Amino acid sequence: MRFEGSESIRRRREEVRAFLLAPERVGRCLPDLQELEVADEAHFTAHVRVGVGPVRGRLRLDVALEPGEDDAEARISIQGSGLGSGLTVRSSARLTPVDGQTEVAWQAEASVSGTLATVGGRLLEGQARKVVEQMFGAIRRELEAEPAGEAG
Amino acid sequence: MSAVQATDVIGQRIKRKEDPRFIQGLGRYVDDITLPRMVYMALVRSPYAHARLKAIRTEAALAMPGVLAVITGADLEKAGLAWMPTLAGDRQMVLATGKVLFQYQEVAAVVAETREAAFDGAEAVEVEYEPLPAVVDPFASLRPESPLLREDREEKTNHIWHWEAGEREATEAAIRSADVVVRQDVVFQRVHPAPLEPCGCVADYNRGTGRLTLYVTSQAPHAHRTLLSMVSGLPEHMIRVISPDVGGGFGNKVAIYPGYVCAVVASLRLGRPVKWVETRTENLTSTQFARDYHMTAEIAAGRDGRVKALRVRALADHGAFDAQANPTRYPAGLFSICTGSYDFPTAFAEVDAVYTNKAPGGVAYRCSFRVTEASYLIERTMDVLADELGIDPAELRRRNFVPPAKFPYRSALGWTYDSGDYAKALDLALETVGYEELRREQEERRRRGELMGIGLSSFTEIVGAGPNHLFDIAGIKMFDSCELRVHPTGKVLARFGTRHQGQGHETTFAQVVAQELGLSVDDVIVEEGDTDTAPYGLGTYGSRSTPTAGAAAALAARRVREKALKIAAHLLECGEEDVQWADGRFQVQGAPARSVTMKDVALAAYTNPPPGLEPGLEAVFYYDPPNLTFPFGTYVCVVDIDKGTGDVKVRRFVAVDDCGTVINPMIVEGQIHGGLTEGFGIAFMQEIKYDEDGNCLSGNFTEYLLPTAVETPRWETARTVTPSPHHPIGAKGVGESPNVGSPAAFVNAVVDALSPLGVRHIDMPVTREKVWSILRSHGIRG
Amino acid sequence: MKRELTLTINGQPYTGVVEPRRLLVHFIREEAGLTGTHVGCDTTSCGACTVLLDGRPVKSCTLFAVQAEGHAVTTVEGLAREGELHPLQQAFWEQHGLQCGYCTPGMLMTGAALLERRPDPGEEEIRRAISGNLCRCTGYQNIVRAIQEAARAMRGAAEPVSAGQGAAGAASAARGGMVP
Repeated sequence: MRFEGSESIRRRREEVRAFLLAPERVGRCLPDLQELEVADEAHFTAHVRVGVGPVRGRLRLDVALEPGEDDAEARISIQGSGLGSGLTVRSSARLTPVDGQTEVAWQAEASVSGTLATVGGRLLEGQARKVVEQMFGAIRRELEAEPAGEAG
Repeated sequence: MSAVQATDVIGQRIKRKEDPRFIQGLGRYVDDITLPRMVYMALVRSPYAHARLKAIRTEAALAMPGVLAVITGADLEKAGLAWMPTLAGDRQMVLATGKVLFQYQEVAAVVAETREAAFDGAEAVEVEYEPLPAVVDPFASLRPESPLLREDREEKTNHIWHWEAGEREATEAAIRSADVVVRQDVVFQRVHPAPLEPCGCVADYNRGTGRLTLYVTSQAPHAHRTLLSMVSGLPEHMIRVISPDVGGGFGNKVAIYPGYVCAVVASLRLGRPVKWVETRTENLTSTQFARDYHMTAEIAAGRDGRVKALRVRALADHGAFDAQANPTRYPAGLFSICTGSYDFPTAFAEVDAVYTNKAPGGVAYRCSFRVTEASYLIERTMDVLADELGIDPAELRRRNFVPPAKFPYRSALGWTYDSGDYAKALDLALETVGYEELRREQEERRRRGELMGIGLSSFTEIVGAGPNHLFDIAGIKMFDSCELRVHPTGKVLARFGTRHQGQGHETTFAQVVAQELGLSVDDVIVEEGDTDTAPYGLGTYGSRSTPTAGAAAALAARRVREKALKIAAHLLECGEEDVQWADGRFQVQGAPARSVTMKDVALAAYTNPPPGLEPGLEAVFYYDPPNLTFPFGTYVCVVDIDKGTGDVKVRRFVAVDDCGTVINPMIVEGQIHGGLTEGFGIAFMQEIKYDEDGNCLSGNFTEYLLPTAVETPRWETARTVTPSPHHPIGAKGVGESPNVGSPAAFVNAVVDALSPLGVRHIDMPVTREKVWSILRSHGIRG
Repeated sequence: MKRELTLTINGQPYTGVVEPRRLLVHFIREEAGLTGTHVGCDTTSCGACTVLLDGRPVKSCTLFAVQAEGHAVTTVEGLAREGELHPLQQAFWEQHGLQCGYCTPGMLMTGAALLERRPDPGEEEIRRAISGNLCRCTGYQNIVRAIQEAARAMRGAAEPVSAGQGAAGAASAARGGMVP
């Protein structure tokens, strides 16, 4: 599954990038977060609630935040497990300054295995897209809620 | 054997003796068994189709309330049980070690005090995987760049075996020189037997007696006991396998599954009974599938429609392990029945088998070892030939049938057909359906732009495996058996090595025994499924029960009669040579009024045996069939297609079956109704599908569709009777014929309806979407 | 966490203490020990678990036991009365309406509810009524025939009795007034 989208964030590019590389800040943006455990400055483990069709329960997500090729990029990769399922998401965000704001053009490649894919079936893609969109939406809201100019 | 008796019970519509318990909810299936101190097991399964196992963490699961044990592949490895042999000479992981090879593969087993706690525990087991690229396409699997799936094997390839039969050169030569050659690619999709009762077991190891009792959903309890003994190292006499009432099998319950082995290990470890019953999703995604055969057929023929040669190639996708249950000598099963009902002068067939990251199998689903694939292929391709030559499909079949005078008939691929009268079945089917009239109607409708199709299938089956010099499974010869005990009051206990799952053995076998002993069906009770009491046999699948155990029933009864005759002579005060068995009793030759019944003899066997003869009246017969049996028939299907929706409506379906002597017509018809319905589901609705990552997309009944009463057509049945010359009562077996013969009739009907558009073939399942797309691609709208 | 539960099954009161997530079918099979009601799928598709709840057919795998609190459940074990088979049971036997027997209890319960509502259903109506009950063995033809035959038998038996039996329970028609 491949998704893409963009968010326009009223913050400078450095601030956005710093946010995207901070585990405790990105972690809070995961939809239906239940538990967050930061491992080091680039990794965290989160437990989230998911529900796809009749499959409902908790997933463990091991998340790595990586700087991209240059300072206009940030990457997030997720390995998920639980509910008899496996999940891999590789996403990257391209950050472009536009009129004092930052245009975040993101794309994500996701693959899901196990019960979520089998039983979730055709509901899965829409649900996965929603989760990724919600995450980037939350990132925008969190950032804009912080006082401007404060880099993390 | 005597002439027809006044007391004939064979051929009667006798109500089933097993039914009173089922209609009152008093059947006893595996999940109904509850034993003192019993605990429950759930399995942790792989979400990935192909992945390296990096770590399994069980601490959290073990800390859950009620969880008693977690078993992993590493635990089993220590006991030498991480792998088990399949029935096809391959081996299969019980619990994964090193890597997982299909989605839903068994990775760990959690045992807990309650079912719910076991499932909670399974969810708490943490498994770390490194996903690997999955191979789901069998053709891709053979390409050099494809990842090697089975690193455990010496052969570093995904190719499993190659098998061939017939004359390669002669077939090639005939194809080169023929007037006409048609060639058709045909896929028989992956399907699943999906019996309504899922698989499961209760393993009960008693530390006091040292015995293991395994209650299990098994079509072959004796073979399971022997293999379990070989796998576990437990001495065979210390294992008792009981297959209680089985809620449908259709081949799905022939194999030994990892869950059974894990439950046994758990019971040995805990000293408590362990119940494991799979969920429907587990059933559909991990247990025996069927088919996944990718075939090409070429028929060479003259302009007159006479066939000259058949060449067949097939690629068999077995999934992660070759876990089919085929006789050792026949890795492609009885696929070489693919010449069907037709007199091919020469033929050649070859099959290659391959591993993929899909569930292991494939079993014979209501099929006698790949007969369904073969029958579908030839019946489909004969229609392609008919289309090419512009000959009516019924006429083309008739021209090429093996004629009655040629039986016993040796086919180009080496089988000796026992008996048949194919034209007779075809004629009856055509007459019953009103074929000529339907063809006229079809022409009219076509002129009006309507889509109506008529499909035929004149199949030949090959069942009753099998002769012991050719047939074994895992080395065990494919005989079957009957043990009869006649009690002093003339009542009979009859035990068999087979295990019915709805086929009605408790009635039909009682009819055979009653007939042979001159008793009433009510005098005979049939028992199957307990290895402590039943004689050894290979079980019920491949329509083999009547050809093998049914024969054993007649012959064991005749053995009883041999001794009974001595007792009768004693009672009648005459020489044995003066006594004859006639009209269901022993009579003095020339003075039929002087007679005794089997009941009289039975009493005497215990109360007044002749001097010098040992008391009692019992017999055992182990029957080695001299040949297979070859049931046949012609099915005609009439369909109307809705141009707007692509919906195919089966207007009529006439099934003429010939299964030799019919023991109980009511049960035979019931078998045919059921098999046709399964064939209907396969033709129109069912496929076990995978996405490119190896996710199984058909893991429940909302995706893997079974026909309901609403879609299922009304079946019209009729029969001809051509007894098997070598079976003691002439019976051939019938359970699978309708599932073997019907898919081609359905698809042929749809293709016939669409043939004005130039359509020559559609792969199953022929869904509404598929038909709709074909119509749209030809610019046809409703 | 566990909850106390009281209901009647086939007229017998049952009390149990169950987890809220305990399914009704497991309560019937394991607490009440009535194993005639079967489980064949996880998605409410197969109907092997069909029982009557206050006379209406329900899939007992899709109800929690606690949802049946205070209600009257009828299972296949409650169909026969005083050693006499229900006309549907008799007809399934006569018409070979079963093979492996696994779907049979659910099929009987759905059939009983149908005949309570509609004493003379047509074939299409019967087929629609049992379309939530899957059978892998019979192809439904003999099941349909059995339900038709039972309907005839029940109409015949019901005639001398008063016509309007109301909601006395789906299983009661033939015997006039059985209380589940």
